[in-house]
Amino acid sequence: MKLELCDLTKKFGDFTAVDHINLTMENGVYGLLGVNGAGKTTLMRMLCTLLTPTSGRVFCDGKDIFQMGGEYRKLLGYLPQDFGFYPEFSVKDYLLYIAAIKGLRPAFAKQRVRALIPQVGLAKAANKKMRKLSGGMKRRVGIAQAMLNDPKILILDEPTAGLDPSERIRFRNLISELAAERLVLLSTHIVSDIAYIATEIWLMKDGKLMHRGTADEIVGSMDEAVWECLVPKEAAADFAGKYKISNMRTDANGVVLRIISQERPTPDARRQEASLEDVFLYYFGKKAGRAGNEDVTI
Amino acid sequence: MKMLRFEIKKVFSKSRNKIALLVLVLLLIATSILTMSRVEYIDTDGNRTSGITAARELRSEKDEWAGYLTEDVLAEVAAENERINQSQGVQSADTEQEDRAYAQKQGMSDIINLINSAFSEWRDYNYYAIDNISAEEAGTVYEKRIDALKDYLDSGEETFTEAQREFLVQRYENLQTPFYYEYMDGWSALLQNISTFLLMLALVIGFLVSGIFSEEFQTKADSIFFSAKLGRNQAVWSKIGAGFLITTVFYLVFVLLYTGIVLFALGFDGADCPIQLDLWRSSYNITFLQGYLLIVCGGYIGTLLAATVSMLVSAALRSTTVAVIVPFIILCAFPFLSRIITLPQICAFFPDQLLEVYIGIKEFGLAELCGKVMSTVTVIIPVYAVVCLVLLPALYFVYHKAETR
Repeated sequence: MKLELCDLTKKFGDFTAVDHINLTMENGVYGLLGVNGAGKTTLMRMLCTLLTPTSGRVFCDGKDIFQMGGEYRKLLGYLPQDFGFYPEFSVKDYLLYIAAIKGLRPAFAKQRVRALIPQVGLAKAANKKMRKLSGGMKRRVGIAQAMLNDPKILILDEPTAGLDPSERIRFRNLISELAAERLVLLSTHIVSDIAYIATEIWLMKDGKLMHRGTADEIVGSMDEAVWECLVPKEAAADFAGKYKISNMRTDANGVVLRIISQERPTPDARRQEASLEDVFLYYFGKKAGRAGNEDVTI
Repeated sequence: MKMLRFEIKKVFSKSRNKIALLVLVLLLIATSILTMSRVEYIDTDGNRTSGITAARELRSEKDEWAGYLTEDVLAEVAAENERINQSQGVQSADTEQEDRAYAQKQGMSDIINLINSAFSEWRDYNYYAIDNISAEEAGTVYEKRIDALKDYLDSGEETFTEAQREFLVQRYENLQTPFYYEYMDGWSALLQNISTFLLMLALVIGFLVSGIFSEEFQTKADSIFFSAKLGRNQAVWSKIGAGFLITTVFYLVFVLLYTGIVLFALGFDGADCPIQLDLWRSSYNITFLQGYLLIVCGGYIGTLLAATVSMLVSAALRSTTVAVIVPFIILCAFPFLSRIITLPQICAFFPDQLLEVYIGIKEFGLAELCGKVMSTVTVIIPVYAVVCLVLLPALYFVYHKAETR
């Protein structure tokens, strides 16, 4: 399975959400990182044929996905960021309905639903109404619906949002298992999710793909160094204004800062090994820092 | 089939739609009771009853006059009316005695109405016309009907073209006489009340289907729907199918329930009687049963139109709230527009007329196309049926092209 994005662009009026992106994907996990408004969701929606590109094309094994229509969507599994459902349906009915619109034969659909419900840990909630599920359970139903047709292309937009840490780990492992024989495109704000499972990471900013590579390559691409130093509490704000701070921890002696900088910020600062979180901050700068309070977990 | 079943399940799983169904059942019960209470009977002691008991008593009395209303029968009715008028009760100032006297006329009240209509002014009804004519004159009601039309057409009060005048006179002359008569109060009450019930039914059905398309967007389920293999083709047809099926099945079930309740209570007799027994001036040479079928057919097309436009708005604007208003605009706002636009030639073609076929049968609504004169009812029903057929693919086109941001 090969997906090629050729000069893919999407504009909404004067705003360019996705700007001339060229990429090729084959089986494996592709992690898409970027702050809010970077164009990740728009890109994914174009790959799901939910939005038509303003210009450029997407090819699946050499065929235009918009011309393939149903034949392409047959290969697709999609979990959107805002996962919508029918509140009065039970989990089982919801999955059977999605199986029907995915074109699965009724007998096979029942078999898939029976297999997927326990796989995502919802065996006890199979007959529960969707509106009565917790956020994490709804997300798991979302994952199950994406997997119903055993897709060759799996597109997951913020799949771990709303999951607790143990669910996140379980889900990460599930994606890793699934990725062996399919193409998985994963967008998230949770950098550690991508660091663990992505075979290739794409950094997206203002609709453009600004960097791509493995986690090590991405980390290695950073020109600046990572430092850790202890500063008095009253000086922390000055440092935050002067440097990019990827972490801040208060202890009895002051504040321990993790600083990204070319120069040594204090004489006693110790050099640290850079992580993907540091890279995220390095590339997305203050925008990432601002978003950190809302939707970026570093 | 599976998708269709789920689409229908989606509609009826919503609480607001369950409440709408309950309202519809209550409306059915209330309208049925009101319709049944239209049939009244006064016994020989002057006591009034209505509904099932009244219908049973009336039937036995009216069926004494069942048969063709020939000159002899009409003259006999006029003579019998005269005989009762001379009785003590009618002359009495006592209401109870007057009621007892009227009770004697109940069996022939429909025939008296017919004679009164024939001997009344064009746009009037004289309750006592029969009291002022001889038995021989009473036998001329059919000629009087045609003469009255000709007089009206010559009066200059109307604006019909020559072709339309000829059409109406021909219709009047072609009406088969003498009329066949039997007890027909069940059909009469049904036809008089059915339009109101059909309007309420159409509004509720419009409400039920208004969310079929927009709810995908409102629940944010659209992304998964449209990214599925059949999400842009069969699944869209399933939605259209669900809308069509809900409209058709609900319309038929509730109309048949209403008809069944009313006719079981008041009687099925009279289906083959001419509609002129009730609507004396009507230019439609049809029976009560045919009139009923025409009204139901018009109501169905009206309901289907309201539902289809509602679904189209729901798909295009992605708003259930706006879509819910559409049936009200189509079926309730147009009558107000008709009051502002004083051009009956235009207003007669408004979609609300589909649910007012009873009025259409009563009045002289005519349309002239390429020199051919037709009754408006027989024009608007097929025209709006075609509009519905055209809107269905339009609905598919709008929805299957939908983009989700």
